[in-house]
Amino acid sequence: MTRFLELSDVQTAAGHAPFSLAMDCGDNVELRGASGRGKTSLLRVIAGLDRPVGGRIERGYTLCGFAFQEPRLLPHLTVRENLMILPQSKAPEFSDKLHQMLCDLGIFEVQSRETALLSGGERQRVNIARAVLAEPDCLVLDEAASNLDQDAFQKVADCILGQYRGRRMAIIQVSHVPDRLFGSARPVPVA
Amino acid sequence: MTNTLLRTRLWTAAGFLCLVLAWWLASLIAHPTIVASPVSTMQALVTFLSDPAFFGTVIYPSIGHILAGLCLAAVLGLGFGILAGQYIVVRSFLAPLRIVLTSMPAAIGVVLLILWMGLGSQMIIAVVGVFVAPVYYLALCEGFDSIDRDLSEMTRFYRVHPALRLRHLILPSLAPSLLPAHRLAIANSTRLTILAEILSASSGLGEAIDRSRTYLQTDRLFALMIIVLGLVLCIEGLSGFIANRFMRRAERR
Repeated sequence: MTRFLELSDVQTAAGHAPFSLAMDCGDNVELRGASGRGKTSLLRVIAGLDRPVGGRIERGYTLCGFAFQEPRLLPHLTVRENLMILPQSKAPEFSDKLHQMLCDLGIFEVQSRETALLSGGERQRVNIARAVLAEPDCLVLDEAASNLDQDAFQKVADCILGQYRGRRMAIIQVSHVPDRLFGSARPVPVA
Repeated sequence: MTNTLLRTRLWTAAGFLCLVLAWWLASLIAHPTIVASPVSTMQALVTFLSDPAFFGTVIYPSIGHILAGLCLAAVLGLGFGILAGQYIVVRSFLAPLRIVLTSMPAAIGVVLLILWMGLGSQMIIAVVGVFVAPVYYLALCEGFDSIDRDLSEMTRFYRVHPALRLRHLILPSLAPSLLPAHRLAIANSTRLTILAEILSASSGLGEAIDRSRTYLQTDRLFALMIIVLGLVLCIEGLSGFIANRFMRRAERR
């Protein structure tokens, strides 16, 4: 039977040591390692953005949300428009979810503002909102707490953990700051 | 109107007046068959424009050639540009042809096409289409290169609908290189049309220019040059307006 996620001796193009990981549905994992160890490269492979150059990867999920290290928002579109580009926005209940998400993350007031005009923290929250609104089975967070002040971090954490518990999605996260992790994540060292 | 804009326009007007002044001074020094005076040129211009037959036999055929050639160039340049912008193999494959077309003197191209296609409108349209297409092609390649890779990856990752990708990511990236290229293409289309018409001596403004040159009707030659300039400005203004509106509408959707 295919596991939720299984990486066996996976090597990325970054050329680091083979990496193995097994995850079940609802797991919360933190990839831990010093800078330059290839954590982001592994996240990209897990999300299907890159192919591994060695080893084997098996995914038992179909949808993945990725909160990129840099927000990657369309700068000339508003916050709302950036979130409406998701294919999930076609669903009738999306509008309510979007409204709730904007309120939960404290960006409701800036929803009509072009993202180029937002602060770093606001942009990061839109990035996270997009990843969560994609209704992923697996949420990948690459330094997602960067640029967030304590208040914003708490709002984001409450939102993500609420979704995590409610939808039994898995979380794979990377953070350089130990107290900036979302929930109690199982640390997995990246050599 | 802001001060800067007013100053810019004043300098443009001053440059234009200097040009006319230099022309007038040259006409005083040189023989009228070498440099026609501004006054005689204006008289020839009025004669041309007050003759309805002039439009039917000279202006309209040339406009037809320019627009048909421009359309052909746009279809070829944009068609191949879209492919080359997305597939490096296509771009590499087309590189030699692109180099031949951009470095070959247009006059040689016209002579070759006269040889292969004979005289007539088809040849003129083909000349414009083939030699102007690289302008669109290169602009599109440049535009595709300027698309933000990270944003492109993000839209693919989230399976954003292709129409939304086109409107919000691709078109805004293409517009900055495509719109100036379109202006250049219009100017080049007009130049090539006139050149092909002169060399083939078949119809339109080129044929009229050739006739004026043969009979040393310099005032008519200068008047025809002014008509060509006016034509370029009109087509450029109109198509630039349409292209700008199209881009803005596409971005807004």
